[in-house]
Amino acid sequence: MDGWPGQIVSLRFSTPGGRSLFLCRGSAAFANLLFFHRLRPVHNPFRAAVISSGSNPVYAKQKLSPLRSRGCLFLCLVLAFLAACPRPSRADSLEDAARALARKLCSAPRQQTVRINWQDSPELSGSFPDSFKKSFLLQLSACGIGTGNNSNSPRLVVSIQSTASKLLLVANLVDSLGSVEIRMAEIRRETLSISNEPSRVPRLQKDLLWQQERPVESATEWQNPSTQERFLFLLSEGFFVRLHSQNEIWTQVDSTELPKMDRRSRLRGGTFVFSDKEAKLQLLSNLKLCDFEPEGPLRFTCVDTNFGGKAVLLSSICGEPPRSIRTDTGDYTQRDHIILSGQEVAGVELPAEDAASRSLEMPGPVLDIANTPDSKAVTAVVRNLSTGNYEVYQITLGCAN
Amino acid sequence: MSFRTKLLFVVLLTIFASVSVVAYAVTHYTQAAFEAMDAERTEALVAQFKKEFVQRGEEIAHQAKNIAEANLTERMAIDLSRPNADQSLYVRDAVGTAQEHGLDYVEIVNYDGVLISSAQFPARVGYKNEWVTAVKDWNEIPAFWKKEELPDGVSVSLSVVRTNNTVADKTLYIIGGHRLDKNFLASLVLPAGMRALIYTNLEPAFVPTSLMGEKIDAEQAERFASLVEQLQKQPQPLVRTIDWTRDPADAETFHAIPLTGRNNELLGIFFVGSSRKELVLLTRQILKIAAAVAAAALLMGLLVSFWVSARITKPVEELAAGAREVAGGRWDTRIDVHGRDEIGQLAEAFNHMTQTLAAQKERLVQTERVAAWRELARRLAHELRNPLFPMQITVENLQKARQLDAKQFLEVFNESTATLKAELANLNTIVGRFSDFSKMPAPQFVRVNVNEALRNAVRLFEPQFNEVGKPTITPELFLTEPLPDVDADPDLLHRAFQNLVLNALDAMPAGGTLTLRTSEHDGHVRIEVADTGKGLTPEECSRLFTPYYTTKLQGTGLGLAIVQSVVSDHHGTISVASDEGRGTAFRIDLPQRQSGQTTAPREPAPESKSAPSTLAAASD
Amino acid sequence: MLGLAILPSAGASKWPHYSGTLRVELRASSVSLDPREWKVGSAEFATDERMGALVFDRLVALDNYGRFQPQLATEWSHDAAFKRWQFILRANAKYSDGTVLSSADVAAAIQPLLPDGQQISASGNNIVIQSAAAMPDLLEELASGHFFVYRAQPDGTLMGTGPFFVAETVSSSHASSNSSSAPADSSLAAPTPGVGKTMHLRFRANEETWSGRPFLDAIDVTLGVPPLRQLFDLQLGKADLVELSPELVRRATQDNQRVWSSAPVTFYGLRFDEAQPSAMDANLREALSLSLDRQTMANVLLQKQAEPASALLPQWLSGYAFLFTMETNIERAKEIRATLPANMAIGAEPLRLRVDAPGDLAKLLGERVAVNARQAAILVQVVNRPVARTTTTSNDPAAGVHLFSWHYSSLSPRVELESMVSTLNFGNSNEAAVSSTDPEQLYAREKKLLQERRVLPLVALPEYVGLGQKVRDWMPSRWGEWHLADVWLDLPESVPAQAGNPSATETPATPTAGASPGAKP
Repeated sequence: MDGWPGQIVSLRFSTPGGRSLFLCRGSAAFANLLFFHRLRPVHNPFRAAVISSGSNPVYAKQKLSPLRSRGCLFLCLVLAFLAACPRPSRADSLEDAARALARKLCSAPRQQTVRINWQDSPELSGSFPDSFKKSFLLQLSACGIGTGNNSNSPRLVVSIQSTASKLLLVANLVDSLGSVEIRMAEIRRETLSISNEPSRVPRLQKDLLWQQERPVESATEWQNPSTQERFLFLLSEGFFVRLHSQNEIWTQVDSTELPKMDRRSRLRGGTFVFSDKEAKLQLLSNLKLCDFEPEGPLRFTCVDTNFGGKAVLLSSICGEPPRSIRTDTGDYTQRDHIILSGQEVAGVELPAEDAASRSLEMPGPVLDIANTPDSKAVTAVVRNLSTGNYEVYQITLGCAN
Repeated sequence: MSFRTKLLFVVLLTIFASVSVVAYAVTHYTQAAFEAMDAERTEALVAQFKKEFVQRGEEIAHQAKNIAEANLTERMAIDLSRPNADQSLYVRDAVGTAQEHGLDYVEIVNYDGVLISSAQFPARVGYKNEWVTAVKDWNEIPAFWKKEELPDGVSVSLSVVRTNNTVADKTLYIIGGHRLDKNFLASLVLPAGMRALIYTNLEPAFVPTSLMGEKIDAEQAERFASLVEQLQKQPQPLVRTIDWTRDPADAETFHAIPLTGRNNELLGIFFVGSSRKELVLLTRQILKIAAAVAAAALLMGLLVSFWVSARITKPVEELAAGAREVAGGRWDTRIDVHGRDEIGQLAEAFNHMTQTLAAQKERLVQTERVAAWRELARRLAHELRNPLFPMQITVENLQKARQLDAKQFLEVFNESTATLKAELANLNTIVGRFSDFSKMPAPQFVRVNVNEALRNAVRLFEPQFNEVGKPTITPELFLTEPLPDVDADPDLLHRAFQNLVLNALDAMPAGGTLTLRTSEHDGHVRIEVADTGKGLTPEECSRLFTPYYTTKLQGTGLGLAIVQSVVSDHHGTISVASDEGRGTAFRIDLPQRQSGQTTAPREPAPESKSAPSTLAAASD
Repeated sequence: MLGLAILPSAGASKWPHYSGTLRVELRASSVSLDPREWKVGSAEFATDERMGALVFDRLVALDNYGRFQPQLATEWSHDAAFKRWQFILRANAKYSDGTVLSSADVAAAIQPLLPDGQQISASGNNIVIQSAAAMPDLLEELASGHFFVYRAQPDGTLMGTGPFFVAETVSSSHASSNSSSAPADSSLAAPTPGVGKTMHLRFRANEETWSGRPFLDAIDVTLGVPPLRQLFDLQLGKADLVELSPELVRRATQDNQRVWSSAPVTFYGLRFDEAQPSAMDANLREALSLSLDRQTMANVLLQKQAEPASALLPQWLSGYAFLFTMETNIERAKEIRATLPANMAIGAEPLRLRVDAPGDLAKLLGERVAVNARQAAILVQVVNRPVARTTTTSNDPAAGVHLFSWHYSSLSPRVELESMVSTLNFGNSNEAAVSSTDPEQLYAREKKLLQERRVLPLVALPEYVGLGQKVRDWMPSRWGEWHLADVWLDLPESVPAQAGNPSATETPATPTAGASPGAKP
């Protein structure tokens, strides 16, 4: 792999192999890591490709925003340049950082064996990346420091701390005499963004379908009744994006700009609405209600409308009457909940002990919810507060037993 | 000093004394009364303050109780009783609670003594307050004085502890308090003229700035040092008066009430000051009035006593004057009598006396005159009888001779006419002498040398001293030289001396010594003429100068009367001293000057040419 | 089967509006809109910077996820040694008056803000910053603090490209009488006491801004509002956005107000001063440090609204702060104290602590320090701070200790630490400032400073913001940038008249905007 911008630009999405392509040297493992960590919860993930350049993230979906294409070209030039050059005490990836840190420890007074203690840090919301551990230990052993559990051998505490812009890898070596040796290595924080949602299984279940760093205003999943083909429609920064599921992997089919709107507007949002009358999926954007062909060429025929709010229904597979879904008062400052309500529709009171199972914590504010035509599932767009990524979840209502 | 003055003085003295006694008594008793009143007032105030304190304590206790029983507090107690309760939840509660319940200080203490929340010193939160947990049941304990730690130092408060026992054996303590400061003072009601000060005793030594109260400055505060120190030694109520200035009106009496904490430590002193101004001013007022009254009384007394004394002494003085008049010879002096009192009687008696005196004198003069006239008549008869008898005889002889021859008749006739002639002459002489006496001339005063006059008088009688056939008489003269001249009439003087010498010769028929002596006695010249005759009886002496009295067989007895008249005309005196058988001495004192006399220059003593006739006559 | 129903407006609008005026209340009694005047570290800096961010833009910004976002600069690069940085200026970014931003403007604006030895030059749409020393953390610097781009007007005011511009400044004492129309003087000096205490600042949306016209029409800022009053106004709906002082946070949350807190951004510490000889005694300082109970300060006294600080830089900035620990050991403190001459910090000459930091909170901390110190038999006397607009460097000759507050303003730990040291001069003069961003060097430097104990960390305080119920899309940065351009107000009356299908099958479960179905974001 070499780093020609042209190719970078021409790069689209991942290959069926399920591995992203990375051109910048030294980034492959990192991408690996990204893949590994980001999409672990996703059963059939699409793998986003992120190229770090001049500390400014650029997306493969670059083309979605023509405004940025020139910037991208330049950035990739810069990227190529940067990727090539060595950086003192800086790393492009966690592994590099791990190795750098280990090397520093080697220079410390020689220790035969150390007891390693991986200190989880809240920023990483728990577990340590194995790849990090691996590279770190490899490098240690390379300079003759072994690990063991001998209580009188020096203790080495390794932790990852995140600051406003950096990740700081700190190794704290305390020998039996109590003398402390501290070594650090830092890395750009954006190289690590981990969404790590403890996936509980209440009756309300959520599954991560898709995530990206660029804003997503609304999303819905659509299945062709006849061909059973699954599509995922996204509204992102004024663009309509159509993804198609092939072998459980989302691939972008195409994208187009939404009906004309004020360029300077911050309001690029819209939402998918499903009108049962016409039994068709519509797009509501800028107070216009638009029809479009889910599978056909992307074209919008819009009419002005007055639209207040929308109610989303979710029916359980157990044949209960559909429940309405609402979201909690979460804001960008706190996590949000998707709450099952609408008892008045069900006409039955839910037992109190059910309360917990009726609410589902999301990793951040819920920006939009839209339901599938059959209202068997609801698609929720959430902004993950710990990673800052926009995530699309599929919410289903499990069966009580 | 006159009786009146004395009397006046005495009366005044008496009045003054009594007035001052009264004034003193009044001032003294009123002052005492006011003192007592003032003391009572202060006592009352002190009592009131003590009551205030108690009430304050009750208020605070009430508030603290309210806090302790509030639902919030109960919830707090329950919450805090849980294991590892979050105490930080309540850190700020005390502040709000304090404001709510109008307390300066509120502290919430956990069952283990840990300070949960503090309104006055939030920074102390988390520290232990053992003293709170030490006490079993706070709820019965009334308010007490307490030393309060504050961020900016220490203060004293009236505090109460109440508890919330919602959770068994995990009592929550509420400490409520009011700060002891100016506001605390301000809330106390003060009668006029009184003020309250508070000294917060937070240092071992006296700190002027710790003394709070209205109108109290540092230099005033200093004056409390000793008082405070005394209380610091022994905290017990004291009363002391402080003189702010020399003027006693500025003095203030302070009741010091020690405020002691639960362990009897002195935390503060409460001063109740009552100004003595009113008292002093009142006393002064009274004094002034007393003085004025006294003055008035004295003046009155003066007048009254003057009047009284005048009233009393006037008759006395009149008496005295009357007496003097009488003494001066005005026997008819009278005093007009007022009233029937002693003085009146005295005056009456006096008048009576003078009256009697006058009457008696009159009678005396009458008798004297009668006696004199009898004497004169007797003498006249006697004198005239002497020549008449021979003439009768002669005339009878002549009648008889008419029977005799002519020749014999002639002889008898001649002889009888001669005798008749002689006797007639004799009669003539006698008459002359009486007329002489009657016509004694008024003296013409000139300067006269008495010695000269005496020598002249003696020289006249020299022939008789050594007369043949008669016993000899020896004149002895002791004349003081020089002897001042006297104003006198030389002729009268001469006659007086002649008579005296003649009298002396007559007194010595058998001879003897005639002594003449002159001397000067203050302003007088004394002349003494003494003989060595048979002397006089006292009875003779007393009548000696009576006219026409004589001891001699012949003589008119006018001699010594003339002498006396001359002497008295010269304003002199004459006296006689005589020893029976030894002789008689006459003494004459003549004043040297005659008052109001213009005296002619001295003239030579009269020649004795005319004298013999008179003398002859006198000595006849 | 029920599918989706289009509902008439349920009283809450689903999407952001272009309308409304955000009412903001601030404690500060005056605001300066001239980045050159801002006092680094001062309490006012935060306010000034916030207001500045409404009017001005930076070249780059850092988001909550450590990603540098293009602002006025769309792309950037640097050489291997980090000595030369090149920025590409955003094309046709416009000032509020419609004039186009030029790279020369940027150079002119940034140059005075750059430290010595860094030159900025402009050519075309390229901007180059270079220096003899490496500038590895230049982006962090430019993304924070006073590195705003502005153009000085002839009248002395500064104009920005930001989402808002100053429409007018109103002194409340004269009501609206003397409201000077925009653009207002950029440096709004503190109103003289006589002339109305509070001051209103009115910002209007900049239609021309490159980042898209903000949702809000205007922002009304009231200055000099006391904390409690702010809370009341928030509760009464008189204000949409207020600063909450830490002691009120609990109250606000109990009252179900929306409260947001930043990462700890204000540092409280003790600074020793030669003014009192005893303060220069290392042992005394150690004893004092050992006597301080930071845990209680933060968790009890400040009701967990603060964090005990054991380092100068916060964890979120340095990353290694957790390595420092501040021991509390009264017994040891007493021992050390016992070895000191009696006259030192005892009755005769108590150690005077002056509270330079503004606010009751600082005073409370000062008093706590005194109480702690007393446990170790060290007499500390708290003296109140002179009534002047706070200057952490102002030296009261009498005081040997100063309780100061420091507001972190740079996203570069190196810059922050050095400006802290130089401003508060508690560093050893002979000690050279670190130029490299190597965390180990930085750590060593800070460690040394802390060991000298001429400065003792106490606590670090986050910033608290109370939000009105109508405020939407509140997306501040962890370190306290408000990003008001993205905020919009959920105003029922602004919803267009309802239409569409009346056959509503669903109604909101709760009437509140937030709880109505899909009423998000």
